[in-house]
Formats: sequence, C-alpha cells, structure tokens
Amino acid sequence: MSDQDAELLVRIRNGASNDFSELVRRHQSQVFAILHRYERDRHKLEDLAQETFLKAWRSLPQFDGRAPFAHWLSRIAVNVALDHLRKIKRLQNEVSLAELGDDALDWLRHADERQELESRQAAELLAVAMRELSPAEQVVLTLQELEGYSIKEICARTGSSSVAVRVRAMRARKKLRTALERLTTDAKLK
Amino acid sequence: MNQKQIERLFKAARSESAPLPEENFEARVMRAIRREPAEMTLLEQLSRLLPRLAAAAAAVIFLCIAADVCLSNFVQPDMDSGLTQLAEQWLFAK
Repeated sequence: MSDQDAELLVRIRNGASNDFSELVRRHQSQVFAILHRYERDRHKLEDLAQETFLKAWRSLPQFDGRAPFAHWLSRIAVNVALDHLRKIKRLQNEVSLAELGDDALDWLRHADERQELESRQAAELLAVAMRELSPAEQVVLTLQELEGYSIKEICARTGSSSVAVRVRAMRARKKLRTALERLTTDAKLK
Repeated sequence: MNQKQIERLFKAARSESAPLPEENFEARVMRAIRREPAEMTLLEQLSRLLPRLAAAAAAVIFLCIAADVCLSNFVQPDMDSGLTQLAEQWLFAK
C-alpha cells in the first residue's frame, strides 16, 4: 500500500470521513478502466463506479492493509461488474448484429484478410459476442485476455480456485469462438 | 474464425482507453455516502425501538380494558363473577 493511501486511511478511520474523497480522486481512473471492460454505456459506468466506492466505504473497517488498497478496490470493482453482468444477463443474452457498426460488420466479413479493426470497434464486437458467455466466464476471459492477468492474479481478484478459473477460461474461449463464427456467418448473409 | 483472428481482436480491444471520470465525480460519491444511514450501536437500535414497543404495549393494554368493559356491560358477567357463580353451583350441586 502506498504511504499516502495508508496515511489517508488512518485519518478516515479516525473520523475524517471527508478525506475519502481524496481516495476516490486517486483511484477513480483505475475503477473506470476496470468497469469499462464490462459496461460501455457512460451513465451506467458512472453508476457502477459509484457503487464500487460505496461498497469500499462500507467495507473499510474490514480492510486490514495487508494488500495494497488499489488491489482491494479492484477486487470490489470486479465483484460489482460480476453482479452487474448477472443482472443484465437476465434481461438480454441474444447476440445480434444490430448493435454493431459498419466497420465491425465489414471486419467480420473479411476477417481472413489483413484488415485491422479500431480498438473501440473491436471492444464493441467482443462485448456483443461475450453475451453468449456466463457472467463468471466473461469476467475470467476479460481479466485474462484484456487486462493481461495471470491465473494466480485472477484467483486473487475473483476468489475462485485455480482449477475453476482454468475451466472457465477454456469454456469461455470455446463459446466466444462459436459466437464470433455465428456473427461472421450472419454478417456475410446480410 | 480462427485463433489468430480472435487474438487480433483481443489485441485491438486491449488498447482501448476507458473514458475519464466526470469532473467532481468524487463529490458525487461523497454525496451518496452522506445519504447512507450511519452504522448504529445495539444501544442506539434498542433506544430507537423503545417508543414503538411502548406504543404497542399501550395499545394492547387499551384493547384489553375496552374488551373487558364491553363484555362485562353488554354481553355477559365479568370473569370474576362468572367463576364465583360456577364455584357456588358446584358446591350446591354436592
């Protein structure tokens, strides 16, 4: 934990609750970066970030300071994302082309050629295809492939065993490939 | 779609930057925190519960008195005289 975070946490625990805003200012970009992998809508993203900091505030008495505050906060953010994915999974799990832009559709039609896709469109395409995956699989694949975490780090962030993470990652890749293949077929027919 | 294409897709998506938080986002979080109910001790919870318990007890007492008055005046003799009557009947029957 950084000395400045430790100092702030001591002050907050001694009653200076307004100092929590300084912690929010320091870590808000990190929380936005994590949650943006799971929610692309700006307003919903802000709501999720707020929920993350609220949960951190409520759980602050349980934070023992053994791990850096940023790690502890990122674990809360991942759990908030997981809860959010479970909620939206009940409402929508249909993978459709309607939400994709022309560039993404064009890339799907000609993915075999050396055509590059912009980062935003690639992320959009992945977000649509990932709806075929369960929320837990989405989290594991995102942490592994987009955030670049190792299996051990994913276990620490999700609280799952290494076997569970490996199995989820394998299933997630298989399902993602199937979803992308279906989208490619649909795009070629369109 | 082969593995290489999926890897290209991941690589492109990885470099996407997240939107920046709105200005004064921390103020929004602090407003939400202030709206949170403060954590209460057991004593505070009990003292908050006490007026309700007292009101409920008073209501039960009032209902019992009202029921007793109604029953003794309009329906049947009160329980005390009813019991005396029963005891006398039992004694005389012997």
